[in-house]
Amino acid sequence: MNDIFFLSLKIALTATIINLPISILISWVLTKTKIPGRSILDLIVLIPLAIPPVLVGFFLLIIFGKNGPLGFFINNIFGTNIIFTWFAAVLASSIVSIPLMIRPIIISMSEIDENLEKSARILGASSLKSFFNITLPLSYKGITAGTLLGFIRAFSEFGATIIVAGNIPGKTQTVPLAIYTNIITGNNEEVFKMVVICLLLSITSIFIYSKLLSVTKK
Amino acid sequence: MSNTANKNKILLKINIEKRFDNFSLNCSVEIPNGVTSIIGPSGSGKTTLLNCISGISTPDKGDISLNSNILFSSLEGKNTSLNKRKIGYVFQTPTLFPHMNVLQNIRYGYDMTSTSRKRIDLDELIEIFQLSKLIKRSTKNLSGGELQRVGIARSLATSPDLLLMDEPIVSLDVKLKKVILDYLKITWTKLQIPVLYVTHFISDAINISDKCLVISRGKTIAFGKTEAILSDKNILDLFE
Repeated sequence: MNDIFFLSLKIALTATIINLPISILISWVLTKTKIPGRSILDLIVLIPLAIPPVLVGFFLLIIFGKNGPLGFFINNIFGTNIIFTWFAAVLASSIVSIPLMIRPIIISMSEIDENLEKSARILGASSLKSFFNITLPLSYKGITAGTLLGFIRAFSEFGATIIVAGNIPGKTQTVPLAIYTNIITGNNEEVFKMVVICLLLSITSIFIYSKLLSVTKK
Repeated sequence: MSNTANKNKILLKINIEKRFDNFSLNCSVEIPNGVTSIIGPSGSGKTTLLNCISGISTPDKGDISLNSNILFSSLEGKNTSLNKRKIGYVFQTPTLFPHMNVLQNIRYGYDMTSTSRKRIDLDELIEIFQLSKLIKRSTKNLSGGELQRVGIARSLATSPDLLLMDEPIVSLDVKLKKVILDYLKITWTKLQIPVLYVTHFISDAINISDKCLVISRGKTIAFGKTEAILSDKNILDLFE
């Protein structure tokens, strides 16, 4: 069980680390810029929430499969295929969890008084410096909350993962997939242990998340 | 340059137009060194004017120059970025950075100012604005008057060529207003930083400024010596 748990942690952490800078950038574009097409970007970001996770897996299979546009390219350059590997699980987890990471960051960034950022610019800061000195520190609660929510969603991912990474013991079998397998095989003791771990992790994360956002609203 | 010559030297040349849906700002004026108030009824365009000078807003056409340096020119296609205009701005609501203490706030712009530009000593500034006891404090625990003193000191720490102030004392009580206005006078008399001060109180304008620009409904109504302008009945009627 330890191996399964650590594989799940590795996949969820990698997905979260990949998503974090992308989420911060997208949130900044949506809240602090007037770039045309922002509303379309906002919709695109929400799509993984609106469609069943198995569809996400299906589309990843098409794109990264041996004959898919990116799969063909990766196979030719690196001589390998990412389908049915732990990295495919990372991609699946990353896509389904990114909308949940972005929302709290958007809320936090929207709440920053824009005169603070203007003040920083007038005092001599470039846009980038103002972002790192003012916007980012003042959004830390949303960033932390989004990271937690994104991580727990990535950890819990099932539908997309089973399609694009498979359920290969020791290679791509995450905790949710292992629960599924053990339910089918009637191994209730293992199921119970994993369910308890998942519940503890989820409840703790949600509790911290709600604390962060309730303080933000004050 | 003698004090009189320095005071009469043209500091800021403005000739701009800025249009909104229901409002248009048309301002053409040459402002000399010193403390100049911009006065007008609410919604007359005073803040819009400051925003155009500072670079927060971009005029639709015209030009703005400060000490003969062109900040904006629609004809030449020039629009200096707001972080390069060397202008300080004190907003109506204090905009101190809540995650920094008082000293970090004051140093923020100071540390980004090049050594060759620094005309104002940081320790002297802290002493003039009586901030020594506050420097380690969080900005969340400061009173309204303290917030504005820190805000003004922070802007001055960058040794700006011009300080813009948008009704910085409107939310303060009478006693505190006088305190801040006294600090404002020091900004010119001691630190030699020219000030453009927006207010809709005639008494403030008379108290602190040599020159006064009156704006109403986006148009420049009058510009000249404060006492002469503000004793004109036609001008005073604008504020009734």
